[in-house]
Amino acid sequence: MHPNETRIFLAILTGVLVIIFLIGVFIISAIYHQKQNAQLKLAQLSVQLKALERERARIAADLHDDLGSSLAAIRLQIKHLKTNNQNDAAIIDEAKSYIDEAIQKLSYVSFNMMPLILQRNGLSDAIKELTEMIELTTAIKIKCDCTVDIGDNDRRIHFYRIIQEVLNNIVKHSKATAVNISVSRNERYILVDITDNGIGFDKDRIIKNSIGRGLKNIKSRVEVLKGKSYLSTGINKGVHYSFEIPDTEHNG
Amino acid sequence: MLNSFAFDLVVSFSIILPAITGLIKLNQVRWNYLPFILLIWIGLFNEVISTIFIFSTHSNTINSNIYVLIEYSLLLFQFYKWNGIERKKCCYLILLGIVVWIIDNVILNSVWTNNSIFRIFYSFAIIFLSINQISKVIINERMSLLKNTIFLICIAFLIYYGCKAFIEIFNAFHLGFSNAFNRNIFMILYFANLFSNVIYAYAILCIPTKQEFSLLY
Repeated sequence: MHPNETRIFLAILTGVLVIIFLIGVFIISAIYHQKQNAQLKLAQLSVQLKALERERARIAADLHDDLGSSLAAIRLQIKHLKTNNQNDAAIIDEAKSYIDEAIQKLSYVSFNMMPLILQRNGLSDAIKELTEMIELTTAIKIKCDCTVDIGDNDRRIHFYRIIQEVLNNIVKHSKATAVNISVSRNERYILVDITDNGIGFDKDRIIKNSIGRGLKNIKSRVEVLKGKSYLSTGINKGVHYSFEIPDTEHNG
Repeated sequence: MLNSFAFDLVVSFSIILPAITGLIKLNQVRWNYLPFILLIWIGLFNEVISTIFIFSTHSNTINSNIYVLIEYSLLLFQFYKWNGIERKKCCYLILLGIVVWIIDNVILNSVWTNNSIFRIFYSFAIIFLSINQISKVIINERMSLLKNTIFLICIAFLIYYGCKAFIEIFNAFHLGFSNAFNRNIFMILYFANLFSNVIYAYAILCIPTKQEFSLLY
């Protein structure tokens, strides 16, 4: 090469290397900030969910203790009402049935807010009670195999909410008649698998349009647990939800 | 001369690395990475054809000019699969690319010569789509970026197609430099190609076996 060409070549090479170096700096900066951002968002999400659960527990307790006991007192009073008038008797009976319905709905709302059985008896019993309630109120048959207990209260609530949200989705949208729930543990993970035989949905449309509030709630909880979610579905192919959550209790 | 040609051959055939990892991962690769894997194998096939033509006819321009159009179309389709571009825009860009290719290789020049206009056009298209995709991944990804296949591939695209665009623009001016100078300039692209192929091979190994479900936030 001519000496001038050599100088030009070196200038070009230096320019290219500088651009590559700048791209490298950009990549390192992007990775650093993304990591910081992800940790911050996770911490914020965890705090929000904790606050939400505390509030739910408070409302559930208030409903059960205050409103629940008031309704029970009203029921008792009405039970002691005596009348010989047939119309009045009919009104009293109707009032009793309304109060019973109100007590039952209050029980249901309070249970959905925060099932006491979750804190008293653990995850397995809470899921069992939830599935029994769904079987009573819908035509869905649920087979549940849950052999795992979660020691940490916060984690237990997240697991419960994930399964509750999935079952809510199934009840609301899937038109399924059968559901299988499995919660198990291997060396490193707690595995949650839920399958239904419903109408499924178009996953690509949900992802592209970023809809599905229930799915977002599920994703948030799984993220807080530092787990991964997998979902396979198709139109008329049912839905298979699968969650892999690190077992921090057994693995530290 | 023979040594430098041998060196060129080794660097060009570095595409065999991602081709092998693509083959290893083939059963596990999800549909949204298939266009890229297919491109790697077509690239390897193109290198084989180029080597045969160089030894027999001393020119690989015809297959290179056809290959760059296929490369461009497959890459656009890959960005579409990654939700980096909408279907309509993808189709328009492919059509636009075909028009530019025809102008460059049929109207203004010949398909038997090395032409730069289409190469400059599609390099910039891939760079812009890669920048867009990288930004999306940075915002939405919660896990380590160094294990995110899309991020890694797009970074490699930035480096390779950035160098390619620069060198093709330089080439387009026909500044009348010596063959030795032109060869040294293209060496920059060969090294960028080698580096990119190593990144592609690693990125393919990072393709998750199960596609995690994610929603945009």
